[in-house]
Amino acid sequence: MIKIKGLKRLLKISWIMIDSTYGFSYRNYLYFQKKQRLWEFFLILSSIVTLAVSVGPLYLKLISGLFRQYEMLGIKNLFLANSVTLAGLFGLFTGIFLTINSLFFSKNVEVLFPLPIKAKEVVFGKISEVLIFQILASVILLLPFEIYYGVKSQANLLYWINSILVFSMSQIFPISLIMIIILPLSRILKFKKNRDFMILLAGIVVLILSLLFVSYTNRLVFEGYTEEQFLKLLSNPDGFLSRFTTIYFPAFLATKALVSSGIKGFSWILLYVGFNIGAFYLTIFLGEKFYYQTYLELQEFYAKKEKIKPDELKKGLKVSSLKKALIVREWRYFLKVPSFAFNGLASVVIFPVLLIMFAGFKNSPEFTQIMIFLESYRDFIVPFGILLSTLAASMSTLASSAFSREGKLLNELKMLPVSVKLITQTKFIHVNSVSVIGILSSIIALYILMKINLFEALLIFFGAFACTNFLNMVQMIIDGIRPVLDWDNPQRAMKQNLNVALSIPIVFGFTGGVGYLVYLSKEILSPAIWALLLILIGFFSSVYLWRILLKVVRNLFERDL
Amino acid sequence: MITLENVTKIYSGTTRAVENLTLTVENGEIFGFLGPNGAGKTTTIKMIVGLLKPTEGTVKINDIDINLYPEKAKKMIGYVADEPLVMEKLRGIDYLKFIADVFEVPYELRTKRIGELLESFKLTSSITDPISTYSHGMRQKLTLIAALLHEPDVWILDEPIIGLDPESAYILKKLMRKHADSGKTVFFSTHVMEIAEKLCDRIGIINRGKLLYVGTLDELKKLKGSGSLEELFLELTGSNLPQLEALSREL
Ligand SMILES: Nc1ncnc2c1ncn2[C@@H]1O[C@H](COP(=O)(O)OP(=O)(O)OP(=O)(O)O)[C@@H](O)[C@H]1O
Ligand SMILES: [Mg+2]
Repeated sequence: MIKIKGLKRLLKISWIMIDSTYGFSYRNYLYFQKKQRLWEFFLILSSIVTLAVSVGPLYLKLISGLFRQYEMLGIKNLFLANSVTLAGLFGLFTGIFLTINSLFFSKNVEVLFPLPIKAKEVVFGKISEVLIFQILASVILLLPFEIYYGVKSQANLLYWINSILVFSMSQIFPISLIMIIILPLSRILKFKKNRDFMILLAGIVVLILSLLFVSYTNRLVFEGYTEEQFLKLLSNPDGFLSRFTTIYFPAFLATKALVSSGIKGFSWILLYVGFNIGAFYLTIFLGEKFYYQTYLELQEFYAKKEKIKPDELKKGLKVSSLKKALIVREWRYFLKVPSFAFNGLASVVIFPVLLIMFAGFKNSPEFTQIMIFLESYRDFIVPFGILLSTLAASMSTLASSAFSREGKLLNELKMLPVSVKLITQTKFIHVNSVSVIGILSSIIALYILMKINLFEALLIFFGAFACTNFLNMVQMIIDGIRPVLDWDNPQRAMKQNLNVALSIPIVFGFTGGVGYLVYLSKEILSPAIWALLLILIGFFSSVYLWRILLKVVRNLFERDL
Repeated sequence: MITLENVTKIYSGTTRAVENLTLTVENGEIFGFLGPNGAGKTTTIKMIVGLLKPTEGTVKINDIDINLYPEKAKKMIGYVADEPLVMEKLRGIDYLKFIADVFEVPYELRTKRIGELLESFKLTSSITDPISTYSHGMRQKLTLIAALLHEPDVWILDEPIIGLDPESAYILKKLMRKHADSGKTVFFSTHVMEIAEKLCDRIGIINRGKLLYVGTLDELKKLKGSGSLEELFLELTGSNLPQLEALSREL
């Protein structure tokens, strides 16, 4: 009885946190009860459909290609193991920003603090809050693979039940791992200044180290095999699979559960479920020990309150030009708010990070398979490279929150004796500078993977820059029309911002749609023509959209806020 | 000089916050803007500084229409909002530098001016700390310094005294006097009758969006009979004095 009551309470707390982060009931109320802004709802719906239709076919092709290759080699079960691993590791990396953010920098905890709620209950709620978002990684990287495998091998009921379990628990381990690292770490490392950033940095460093470790052990498994030994390994699929015990343990359990039948399959799934629950419990335990105290300490700031030297004042007041002052403001207001900095930078540096991950598996057979697949499109590296870099660069969420991020401080901008044009320019320059990081990191990735030459790199850079300009402007226009300004919790300007959500179908729709066109027309249009076309499309639409953007911002500044 | 001509503000098509307000604040005077809560003071001030667009009418700062030439007009304004709103993660000095850059204050002038203001308001030792470590009053002083550092002609202060300690309040009042005496304009809103009585050259009383009175205190006394400004204010804004007294006795 008490147990059930406790569980109910836990679920209630979790729901409050989830709801306050993503605004589900607010939207439900708005769209379905008040029937207001229904267009928003249909817009979201139709963009999801567009996304599925534009990227879907290409994705399916990749999946079926991979499946065939694994089947040919007789290591079909690795198809599943890889998918579970990829979803997990991807969750691990994208989750770190989100987890630290929602643990330490999300204001919804403050509301709970004065209430008699235990730290472990809050941590439980926090995990649910993060999980609900992270499961998206599994929806994309795991679910289609499970379904494809199941359909292709005419799986029985046990398979389907197990695959549902594997799917729904697939993000528990990554999130728990992050928390198990972060929670004690935040207590061990005591920083005086910039605590918020130091905690994040420390977490990232630890994660990258652990990832390097994973890829290193992975390499050890594969290097130094003679061809004969390698063939022997191939003849025994389990031999390959067991290597996942060192790389990503849950994948080993999950695959075993999925490919075994009867009692065996049942026992493996029990192990898998048990493993995840164990990790979960450990997290809750650590949360109870470390969470509240760290959170409270993060609310204090370091002030030295000393007499300052006269030249300190003089140095701090050096003259900068108007433009520079405004650009510095953009960077400061972006970097100094952890939620903004993490979200914005994460999306443009996620590429090289994934690359390190990928390159770690260089010697594995799957890597070779994927490379063969990619090599068959080597001729089209420039147009595809442009689209890929554009994707990485325009997903920064900075353009789509360019005005929302100001929040109430938009009034500060409004008070400045500065033209709207200059303000728009500086915002655009800032957004684009962050995007360029994304372009460059993609080009480095392409260089390492596909050995592109300097000329190709330059073409990709210009093409991606032009297209990113264009996509960033579209996103800024959308945000400028209806910015979310009334917030206390900066998360609202990013996560709960419809404008940011809209940028996903826009960017994916553009890159995926054009990518599909390139693929369809590969017999008719040469890669050079496509590269030129993309540069021109990006350039001319940017020139055209600039005027619209200015108009939108002018409107925004004339409106009462 | 501030000129308001037939200014009306209607919020979202319904709330008439300010109605047909015409008012001129001359150079060389301190003008006090009084009125009960929700009378329309902040709304008026926000229209003067260009944060709100009047539904009707024009606002001019030194004869320049703020809605036609916003950049030019804003350069002449030093505005302190009723709630200090600054980016918390910045250090005080970074914020002041930013404002000085945007208003293009030359180096010599900014160091001198900021140094003086920091000393007067006793904020020097906190200026290299993040604003998030400031108390409410310290934040208010910072926005005050930011508003005054570029030596604007026209000071527009929305309830500037609330929240300041007595010493800072005293200094601010002195600064306001000095500014007006040098032939410039000070416009501020307040709820404190004593301050209005002692400091202002002229006052304006607004209630429910309508300007009830503009002029000197002496003229008001001549018009309505003697009494403190408080009594006159209560009478003008329609409070029933005997009833109020009865009520306070009951309490
Ligand atoms: N953003 C807004 N939207 C709609 N109505 C508003 C808004 N701001 C103020 N009002 C309304 O306008 C009227 C005037 O408000 P205002 O803030 O100007 O009063 P005030 O004189 O500054 O009051 P106080 O002394 O409390 O500061 C009030 O009726 C208020 O409810
Ligand atoms: Mg007010």
